[in-house]
Amino acid sequence: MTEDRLVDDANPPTVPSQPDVEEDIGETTDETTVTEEGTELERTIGLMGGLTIGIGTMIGAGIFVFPGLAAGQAGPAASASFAIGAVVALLVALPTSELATAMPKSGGGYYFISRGMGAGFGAIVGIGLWLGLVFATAFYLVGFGEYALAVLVELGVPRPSTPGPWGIVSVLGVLFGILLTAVSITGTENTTKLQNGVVSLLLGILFVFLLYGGLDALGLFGRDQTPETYAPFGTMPILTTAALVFTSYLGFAQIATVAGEMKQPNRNLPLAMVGSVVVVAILYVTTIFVATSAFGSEQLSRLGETAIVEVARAYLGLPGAIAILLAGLLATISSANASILSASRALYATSRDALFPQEVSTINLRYGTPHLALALVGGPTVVLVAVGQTEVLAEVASFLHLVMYGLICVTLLVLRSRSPEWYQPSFTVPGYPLVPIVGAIASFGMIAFMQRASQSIGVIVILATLGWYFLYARDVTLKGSDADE
Amino acid sequence: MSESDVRVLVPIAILEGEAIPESVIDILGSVDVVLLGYHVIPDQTATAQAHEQFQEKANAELREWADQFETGDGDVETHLVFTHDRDQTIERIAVETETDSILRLNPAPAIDRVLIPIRGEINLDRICEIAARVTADTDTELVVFHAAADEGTREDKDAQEGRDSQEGSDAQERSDTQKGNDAQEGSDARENETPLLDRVESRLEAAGVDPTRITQQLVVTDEPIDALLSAADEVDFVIMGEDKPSIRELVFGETSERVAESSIGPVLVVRRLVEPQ
Repeated sequence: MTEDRLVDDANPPTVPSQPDVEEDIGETTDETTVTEEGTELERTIGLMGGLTIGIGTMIGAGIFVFPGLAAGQAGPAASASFAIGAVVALLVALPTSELATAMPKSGGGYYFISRGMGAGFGAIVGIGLWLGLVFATAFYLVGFGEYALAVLVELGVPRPSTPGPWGIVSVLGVLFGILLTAVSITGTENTTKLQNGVVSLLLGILFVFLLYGGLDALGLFGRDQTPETYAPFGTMPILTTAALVFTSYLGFAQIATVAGEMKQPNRNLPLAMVGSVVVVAILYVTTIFVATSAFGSEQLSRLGETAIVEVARAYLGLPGAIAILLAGLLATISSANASILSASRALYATSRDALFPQEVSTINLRYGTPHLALALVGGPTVVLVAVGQTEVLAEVASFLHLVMYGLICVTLLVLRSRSPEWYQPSFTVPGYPLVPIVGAIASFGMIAFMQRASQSIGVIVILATLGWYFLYARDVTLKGSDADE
Repeated sequence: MSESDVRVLVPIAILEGEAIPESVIDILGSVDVVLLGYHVIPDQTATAQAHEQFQEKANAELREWADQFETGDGDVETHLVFTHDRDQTIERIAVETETDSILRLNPAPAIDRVLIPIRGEINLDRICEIAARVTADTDTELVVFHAAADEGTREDKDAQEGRDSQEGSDAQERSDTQKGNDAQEGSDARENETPLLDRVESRLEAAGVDPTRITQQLVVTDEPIDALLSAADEVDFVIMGEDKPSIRELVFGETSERVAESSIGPVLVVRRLVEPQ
């Protein structure tokens, strides 16, 4: 891989006091990144690790939180909503894979966009990614709260009363959010092995559940079918539901945020990204099918976020319910944890380019963790969890990510058409230029189908980010980006 | 790389205050050293982050150690790695530098006695060669050790019952300070082991070790690993080979790791070289 060594003679720094801070970190090999000084940065995440990051992040939402909500809005046609989401995700995953093999550095989407389109867009994406992950983590933690409550209910514990206006779900979510942040700050090693184990267990449970439920729903075990029209609410809800549940696909791009630590990045990055989307898409569609065959959409909607537990109970009795409860806890925890890790890397990448204060990515020697970055993720997350509005949280998270996804597709088009020397991806998007064009349109278009509240919040965040850029980071020029010429 | 090169990989946890004792630096003075400074960082931190913040400090520390090694005869090569997985890094560097002996660090005030446990034929020549080279410029005593497992010595134990004060599976120690003449006072089965130790001793002598420094230690026991661990307790430095992959190793851990953990002195592990491509 050639080193990124663009000299921007054509673009001298506008203000002498703000230095060009980008220096390419080093040369990439299959197992390491070698820096200029000869220091090696070990790559330790394999294909399995990449897949579990992607799948582990995505499953939490799609299977354990959304089915009830989605079916309530679109009926059995919610499976089409998930399928639409999968198509959009793939349209974005392919360009992301190409960019990631050309620039296998930690920071993912932020890195590509800032190098392809300049610091302005970089700021939007970098900060947007941080906040998008904050909203997503809050969403996962609310999901965790719901499952924790369901566990308590199952155990027969009387519903505890809570102080003030906050529900018990929020309290549980907040407490766990604080715990998770604290654990992250004190540093954990070898969590990838734990993550692999957790995701394998989850997939095992789901496979059994969906296989049995699927066969049962198809009538193999003599169950009475629940008659219901496929799209009882019409076609429009299918699209709005697709926008809602798109949060279920937010994990694949996170694989790119650890690209700097992935072994054999050229091979593993595309495989992990595309592979994880395909796997979860199959699981989601099957889940909706199984869920809507057990209960009507209205009933599913009433069951809310933990609907899938009741579906499991309907097919497999108490053991099924318990297995899904356990799986739900594990899934929401692993999603929240993976998002925290990604968010802190996104902040690091952003602050490294001086688009954000550099103190943010300082590592403390005691635990070896970037405590400030982690606090900046954990703090706002906990606040949002207290709000507890699942759907708004999910949509704002999706909004901010969809902006990034659209920009990734645009970046691909920009870089391909400019073809700078250093751009040498080892994986190229099939179906260029159609795929990134449709991907960009679909990403931005999906935003149009969201709730008004989510759109407003999303727009406010983007405007705030732009404001930040103009106030703080205006004079940052990124070496290695063509766009500032 | 020719087989006669002896190179030792010394991994040191830089930035964590791990120290290489002077006695180790002395004893490794006559061989080439690959000094691997590594720093393990938690998953929350990107390797690039740690590099930026700690690069200078880590490099300075590594240089200090390298300077100390350079006072010896051998060459010194340094590597600095930031990693999430210590074992992967050590493994990779060992393969890349074609180094088959890896040092497990422990404090070592003085190195007077070196234990060389021999399990069997595996890698025997290489272990002897490395042991000879490493101890070349020193006066250390070399104790060549073998623990015979129960099966091979069943006849032996029966024959010995008359001589032993203990029955059953208690370990019996016999020290043999001469080249092997007195081995005949043992039993039949012992003759299976003694030639092994004799062979080791002659290999060491062929590599230039003064025969008066070499001692043989043969132990017959049901628990060869425990015997090895207690023998390791009585020396200051151990040079040994790796296990063959086995269930026992999976359950209890690699023997050399156990020795390193339980003994006070450093352990030099000689690996079986994978055939080069």
